[in-house]
Amino acid sequence: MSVRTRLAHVLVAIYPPSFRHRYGDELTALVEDAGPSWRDSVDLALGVGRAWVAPVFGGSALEQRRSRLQTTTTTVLGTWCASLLAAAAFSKAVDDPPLPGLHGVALTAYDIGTVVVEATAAAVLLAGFAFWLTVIVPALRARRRDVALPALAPALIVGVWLGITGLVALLAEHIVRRRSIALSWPRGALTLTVLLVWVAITVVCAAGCAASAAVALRRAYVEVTRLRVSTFVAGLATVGIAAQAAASVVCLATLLRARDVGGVGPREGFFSAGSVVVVVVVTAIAGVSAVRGLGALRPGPGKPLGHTT
Amino acid sequence: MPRVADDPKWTDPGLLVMGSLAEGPKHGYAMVQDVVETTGVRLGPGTLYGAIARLEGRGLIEALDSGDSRRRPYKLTMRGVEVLEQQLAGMQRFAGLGRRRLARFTPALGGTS
Repeated sequence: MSVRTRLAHVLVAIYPPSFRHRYGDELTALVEDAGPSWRDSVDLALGVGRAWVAPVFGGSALEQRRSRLQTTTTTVLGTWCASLLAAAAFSKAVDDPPLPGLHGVALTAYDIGTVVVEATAAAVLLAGFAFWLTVIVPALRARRRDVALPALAPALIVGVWLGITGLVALLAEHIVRRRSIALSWPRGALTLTVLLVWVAITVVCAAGCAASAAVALRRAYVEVTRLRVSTFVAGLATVGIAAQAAASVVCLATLLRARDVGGVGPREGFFSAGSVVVVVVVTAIAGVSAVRGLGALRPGPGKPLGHTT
Repeated sequence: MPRVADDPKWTDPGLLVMGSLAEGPKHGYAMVQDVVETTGVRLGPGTLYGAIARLEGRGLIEALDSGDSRRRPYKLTMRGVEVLEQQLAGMQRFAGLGRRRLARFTPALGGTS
């Protein structure tokens, strides 16, 4: 298999699942029939981008709506996971230890943001658990391992992450208190390395949770009635993510202006600004997806959604 | 006169796909070949299936059942036929108007046609 053929297969594989499920085989056959070229690879890459930014769903009007609601549910779930990581990074940067400027407006915004993150997490976890039961119980009864395994994966991933986090905490304590590990390394560098590795593992675990839940939902083929509920929860979660973004922006802006008490150091500035950028970006993604999903709740069952969904 | 890249285009991929299917049901590769032969435009795979997905989503074309899921043929729906007719009628009116205007304009340039 040539490099161009392999590249074409990779590009087909990274189309959105709903598109790939519907047109993936035909796209692959077309590339094989036409003979893969660099020009076609570029065209495929652009097609991948368009399909992710403005997804189009095939099938009947009802199937299009089902796909739209499913996409909104999984997209907002993924963005919520990212916003949770951003919240943790922001909290670590500005409140561990608290920056000198963290008082007044900055502290109020930070506290509001914290409450919003916790309330959103509680709502998503409660609603998500109820929704998860409606997927996992029928899957287990029907012995559908293709659904049950990815549906159970988030619990397994969280368990593994908790175990790794415990080990990292023990290791960090060992480094700080006893200094008996890798003495040839500067202690700060070793601690930073362990921290970065842990952060990378955390990001991978969060992405794994969101991806496996999305796979389970797609394979379970949940009907429109139940997806209406998950889409509504996704809309609420989006409001929470947006409020978190607003609170972080206000908090960071106030901290950056507080130069009289030292402002924000380079490391805290990097992590807090980085987490604010992440949460603003995911707010935009979740917002667009939620608006499209909530819009799909409105039309009657026979009305096509059109190409602008 | 050869066309250049910045010339205004009428080559909307969706219109080209519908124009190709006006001849009869075709699968992806057959559409690409037909469009190249009739218009000189080569639709890339991403562009073609993006257009197919949009047209199918709007109910203008539909997939036909076939034994080969890798080479599924598509055909115009009745709504697709109506939309294509409207588009072509509009293009025809525009083309006629443009030609009439050019006919008045060309002699002033010393054109021979």
